[in-house]
Amino acid sequence: MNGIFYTYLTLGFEHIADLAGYDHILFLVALCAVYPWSSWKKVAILVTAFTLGHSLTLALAALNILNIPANIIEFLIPVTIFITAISNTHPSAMASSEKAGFSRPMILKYVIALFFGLIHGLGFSNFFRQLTMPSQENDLIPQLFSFNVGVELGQLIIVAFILSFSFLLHILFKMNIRSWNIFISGAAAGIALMLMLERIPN
Amino acid sequence: MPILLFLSSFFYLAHTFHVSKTMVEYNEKEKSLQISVHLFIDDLEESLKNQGYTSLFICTERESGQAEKHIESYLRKNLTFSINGKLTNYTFIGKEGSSDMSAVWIYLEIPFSGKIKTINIKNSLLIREFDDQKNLVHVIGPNKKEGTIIFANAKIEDLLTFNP
Repeated sequence: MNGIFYTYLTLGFEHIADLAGYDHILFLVALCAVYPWSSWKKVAILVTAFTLGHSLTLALAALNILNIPANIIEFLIPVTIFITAISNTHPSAMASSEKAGFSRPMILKYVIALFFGLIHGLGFSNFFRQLTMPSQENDLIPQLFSFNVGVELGQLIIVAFILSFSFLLHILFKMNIRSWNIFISGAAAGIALMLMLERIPN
Repeated sequence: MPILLFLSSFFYLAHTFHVSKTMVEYNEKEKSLQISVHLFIDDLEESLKNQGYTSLFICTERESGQAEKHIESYLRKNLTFSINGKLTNYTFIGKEGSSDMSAVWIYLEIPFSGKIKTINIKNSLLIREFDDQKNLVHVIGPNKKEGTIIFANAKIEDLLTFNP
């Protein structure tokens, strides 16, 4: 038997790590495709900005302040992935990875991560709602907090894994980050397109 | 075509969560464990269908007269409580649809007048049917000792101890 923190951290972490919430991961993959291993700090900030965004709307939805039909959100989530992936092909996309961590193009990217995070948070809420017990209504805030910490940890681990993988390809096969970006963004856009078609709201 | 079918089932899985939740609360005054189980109706019907019980229409106007009997026997098979090392039967009190009618709340009770030292819970609800099934059990035991257990494929049993 475990307390709230451990229980909801585990639920948040596993939701990401067992790939049940893989559309959120796909968004992060697309968001970080332009960055080599050496830009890990920017990637960590991007992941955290995304978490801040989805934590906010998850809380609003869990507290019943915000209520948007699940089918609309489920459709919009792959739209955020698709837009992010397509924008990676713009000539300025790669340039931003060479700029300083808090230069204007980077700050714009953090804001986009946060803004799209708002949409993903509503997606998380459909899952989170199933995890709360009527007798624990007063514990909603600690539950939300722990769940978000678990999600953030899961995201950081998966993104670290992807950066390491691209670094390995760079070492072994002289893969350059430009080709990697196009390869990953293309794959993400393709999957996002399939998801969008699948989830067109009636 | 098979590849397309595979892909579409993969995408379909993206947002179907398989979660049940159960509350177990010890009522000091009434000397009983009061249990409520929340199961998604579509998941429950799916697993009862696998046992050959179809067209149950749980919690609808057309609900089959046999539905409650099958739900009860499914529960008795997949959710058990042993108190102080002894398997303890529960009384099936009843059920009702959740507010959005996607799930059913099932109410159970175990009268127990003695001192509870341990409760062993076995929970395999829907776990055979869905790989990603998670069953949350929130317990408020004697002395208000409180906590949550997550049951899943890798863990369908847990022993709780309550110190006097």
